[in-house]
Amino acid sequence: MFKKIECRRVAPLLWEYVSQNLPMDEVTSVAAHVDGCDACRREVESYRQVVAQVTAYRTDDKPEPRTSWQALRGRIEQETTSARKPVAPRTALRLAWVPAAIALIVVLMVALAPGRNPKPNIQMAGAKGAMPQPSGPNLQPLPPAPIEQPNVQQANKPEERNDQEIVAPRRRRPAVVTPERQLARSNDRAPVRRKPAPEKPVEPVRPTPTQSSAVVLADGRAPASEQTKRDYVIAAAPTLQAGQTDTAYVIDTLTPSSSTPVAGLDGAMEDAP
Amino acid sequence: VVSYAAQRMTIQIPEDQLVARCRRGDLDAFGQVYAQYERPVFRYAYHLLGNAEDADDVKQETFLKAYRAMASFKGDSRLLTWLLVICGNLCRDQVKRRSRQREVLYDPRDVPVDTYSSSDDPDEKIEKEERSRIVMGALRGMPADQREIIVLREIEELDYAEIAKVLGCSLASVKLKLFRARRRFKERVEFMLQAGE
Repeated sequence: MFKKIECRRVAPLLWEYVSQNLPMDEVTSVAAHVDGCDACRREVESYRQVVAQVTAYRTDDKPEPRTSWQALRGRIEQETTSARKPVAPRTALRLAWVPAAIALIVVLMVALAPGRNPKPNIQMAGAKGAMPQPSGPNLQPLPPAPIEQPNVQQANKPEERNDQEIVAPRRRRPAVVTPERQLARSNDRAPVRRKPAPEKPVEPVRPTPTQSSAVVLADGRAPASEQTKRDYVIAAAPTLQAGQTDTAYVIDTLTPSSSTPVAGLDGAMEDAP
Repeated sequence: VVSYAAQRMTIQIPEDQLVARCRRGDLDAFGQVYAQYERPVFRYAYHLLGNAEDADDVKQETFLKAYRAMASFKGDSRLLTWLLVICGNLCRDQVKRRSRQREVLYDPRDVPVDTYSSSDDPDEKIEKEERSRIVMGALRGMPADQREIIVLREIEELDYAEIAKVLGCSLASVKLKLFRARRRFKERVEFMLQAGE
């Protein structure tokens, strides 16, 4: 048991022991073990044979290098000269495409960068004040989109499509499901690119006297009675803009409805609430 | 131009001074470094590659690289150790490029031996060639890392610390690798001796 442990300790030292490179204290202990261990003694004998071969080989002639210092020196000097040599004009011309190619790549990278997706230009046809109030489905304001997206909420409103011009972005956008697309899917409609509708002339709003209206004549007199008011139509009413209240109208002329019917106002008094 | 013989006569200049002159681009100083270390570098490459022609190419490449990278030599080891590191890397690249195969145990009868003995005595010449065949054959049949450490220790006679620097490993690792490599080398030499009988 102890012998085997000692053999393991000694084994790595046997080559140095044979080639006489061990320190003296190690030599003594290895020699003591080898004298009493047949296996290690056989090992030492085989090492002696190998070490003898290697030692003799070490001093033997070896093949000589064939290339000389002059060859290497020439190579080094040639390298140094070529490193200092200025670029020939022809070579410079040949290399002229390099900065051009770099510039082209930079331009393309800037143009195709994902963060630079152009915002679609949505132009409203006509004046803002002339737009009718939306009367379609009640569209709740959508949460802000995670990325900059075109404002196409207006395009999804059915009544306003004809009055809008949606200018699509120049290149395809990434396939991201945006809130607008979700809304379009829920309405089972996709945003449609339409031509701008021709601008409609603003229709004058004829005032319709109501029960609460105070109808007065141009000279400041009030009509004789409610019946009197019904017998007349407004011939020349002031043009009112949307949103203007009709609490009081100054009427220049009151003409009997039977004598001067006005197109579009027939029965206006009857239909009025 | 300093002749080769003259270079060999003037290698007594301390190594650090030679290195300093080489860093300044002094080609004559580098010529002295070349004269001093050409043979060990060539021998190392020859034993790793087993071919004098390839070893010659690697030797030239080693010195060319060393000249270019002289500024990076820190001086914390011998210049030879640094040159052997470069040479070892080039040899490994060469072996990978050339074979890209596993280590093959050569048939000793197929091992070609370069005939380079300068001895006039025919018996001595035969004996040297036989020894060369045995040692080279044994080395060729070993894994590259074991072959490398045997060459560094038993042929180039580097100490353990220098071997650790060349191989880039610890001292303990060198001892362990060397023990295994020697055992393998012994088996290979015994095999070559039996095959030659």
